[in-house]
Amino acid sequence: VTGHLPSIPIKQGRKSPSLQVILIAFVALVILFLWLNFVLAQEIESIGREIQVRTEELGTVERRHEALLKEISTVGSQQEMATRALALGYQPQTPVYLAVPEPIAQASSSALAGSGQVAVLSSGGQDWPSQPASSLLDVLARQFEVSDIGSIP
Amino acid sequence: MSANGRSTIDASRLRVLIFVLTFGFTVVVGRLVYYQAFRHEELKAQAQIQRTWDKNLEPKRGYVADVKGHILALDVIEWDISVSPPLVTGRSELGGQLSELLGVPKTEIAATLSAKEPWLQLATGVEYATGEAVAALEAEGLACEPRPRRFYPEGPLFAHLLGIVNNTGAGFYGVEGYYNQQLHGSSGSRLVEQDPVGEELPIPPLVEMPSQAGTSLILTIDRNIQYIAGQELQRSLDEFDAEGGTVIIMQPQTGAILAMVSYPSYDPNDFVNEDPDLLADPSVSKMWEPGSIFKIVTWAAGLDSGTISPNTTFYDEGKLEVGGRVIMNWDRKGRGLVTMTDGLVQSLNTVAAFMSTSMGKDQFYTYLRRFGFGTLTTVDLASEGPGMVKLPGDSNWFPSELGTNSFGQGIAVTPMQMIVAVSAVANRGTMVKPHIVHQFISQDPESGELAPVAVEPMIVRRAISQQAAETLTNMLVEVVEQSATRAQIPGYRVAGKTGTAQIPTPYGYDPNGTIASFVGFAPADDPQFIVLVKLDRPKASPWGSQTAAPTFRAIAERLFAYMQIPPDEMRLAQ
Repeated sequence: VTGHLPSIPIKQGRKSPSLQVILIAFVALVILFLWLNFVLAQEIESIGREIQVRTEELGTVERRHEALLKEISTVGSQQEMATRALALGYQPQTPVYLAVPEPIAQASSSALAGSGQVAVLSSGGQDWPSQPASSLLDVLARQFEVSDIGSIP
Repeated sequence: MSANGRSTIDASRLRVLIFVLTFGFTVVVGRLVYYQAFRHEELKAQAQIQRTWDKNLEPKRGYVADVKGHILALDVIEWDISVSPPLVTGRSELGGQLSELLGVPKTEIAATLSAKEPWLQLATGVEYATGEAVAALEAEGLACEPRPRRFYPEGPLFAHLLGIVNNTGAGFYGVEGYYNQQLHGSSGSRLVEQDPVGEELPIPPLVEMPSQAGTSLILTIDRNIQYIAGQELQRSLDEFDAEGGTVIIMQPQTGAILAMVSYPSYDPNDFVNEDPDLLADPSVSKMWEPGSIFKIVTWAAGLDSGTISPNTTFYDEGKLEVGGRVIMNWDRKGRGLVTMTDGLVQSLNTVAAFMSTSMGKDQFYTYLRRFGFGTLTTVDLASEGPGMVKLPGDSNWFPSELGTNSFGQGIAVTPMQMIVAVSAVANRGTMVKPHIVHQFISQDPESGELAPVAVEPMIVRRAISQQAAETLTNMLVEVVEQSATRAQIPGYRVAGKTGTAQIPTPYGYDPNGTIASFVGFAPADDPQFIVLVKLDRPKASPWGSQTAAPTFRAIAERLFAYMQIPPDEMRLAQ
């Protein structure tokens, strides 16, 4: 038998993937992509919900904080404290001044040189008896002996 | 029918069907092209509006506190509760719960819940705890909206000073009005996606601009001093049967206002039910003819200009004519030869008029301007008024005003102007700007850290020389020691001046009332505070020396104790 074999192109030597395989791979990729997208979306939503919950919690805590501040400032207001102090028996006191019969410190000003008495004061217009004292502590000690000052309960 | 005939009918039906389908398809495609191509932008914007929700983020308003940090104004939460009756389920159970929580009769709640309207307001301004309890029900169709409301724990005592905030969050009067922008902060916004029923979708916002909280203010006010001032003022109003009054306490060296109280006051937590005339702060917005306390300014001008010295003499005949008007002393009596110190101690109008006329109008009114009369003190409080000073050249100024103005008639000042002017004397001639804010505390938007900014004292100008101020201070001490004796405080040198002013009306001066006042500072050699007391129409006595002066003493006594200022001799001996 004479003749020649038909020439076979080299390319035809490799088998190309079938259309089915390509389609399956494509579909698989699409599913993978959608799945990843779904997972990501789910995560975003779960974080979003958590943020919402936390924001609501923060709002609740802030409102509680403000309510407590209101309560504290109301209880600590001057008027409220004055009312409660009166109810407890405290009375407003007139200032009490100590009678100091001699200077408790050296005069730094020449204007005061020679002033032996430090004019200090009285409670309710009544002068305390002037007695010799050697120190401020003595004065204070005597003061509290003499006086049953004020109306501290 | 033949097969051919049927085939012809089928073919024609098919053509009709094809035509109808093609036509329908064309219409649909046409509409789609129309919507997609021609109305794209409009519909996109519409969809955006329906799908997204631009939430306004209201900033938190800054708080206001006194110099020691006690809160004087803060935002608290109240709830507005509304209902969409068609969406409500379990009406009777919900009605019972709401009735119990809100304290509203069950029948009323039941009627609201079964109404046909799409939305109804159930309650507004519900207290924090109740609102939280209602919100915790999480009932369908029930909407609970928290809303900030300004709260003032000290009530009427600080009302004028702080001002008010209305339901839109805008501040008026006082500190709230003056610093409204700073206290308010800046609003933010959050663009979020929402579902068809308007619930925010749990996904991150499309755009977010956080709000910036308002700046908080620490005031120079000490609430204990404010309490002392308020208590003593109220006691004086009761004792002297006065219609109203004002007390301002200031530190003369810095211009820091330590207390400022006016009565009658109002409850700032319920200002909507108060008389609107009470809202403005009389300390900065109410003018009065100051009367004799204004002589401090006249004497200051006389001493500083060299027109007089304390020992300059004047023969007082009991009256003096200025610009065609006869000026008389308060008792219409003459004192004969008097010194300028006597003139101030005895509060002689003739001596004041002699002094102003000796100075001349140009010099006298220059001093008035130097002391800040006729202009704002620029204190950081809303609704400040400039007072009223008629100047030579004005159409309503007459030459006799040179005489009457010298003892505080024909001139109108605010209590703030008066105390600032006298504080210049206490501060050895230097006038400082009065201020009420000690510190601004703002939050850094990036780091969230608090950044305090202190307010420094500001010198306005030198009103008079140091020598003139010291001389005048000594003369004012004489006033307290010789005439205003009810302002004396044993152990302390007090400088001050009384005033008893007539009240102008459209028909002349009111014969039935006066405004009694006293302004004084102590200790005279190193003033730690200056106090202005003004009492409106005291009925027990019309005189400042008998009403305002003892009020000053009562306040000053307590201030010495509170501020731990030792008696003069003890202090100077240290």
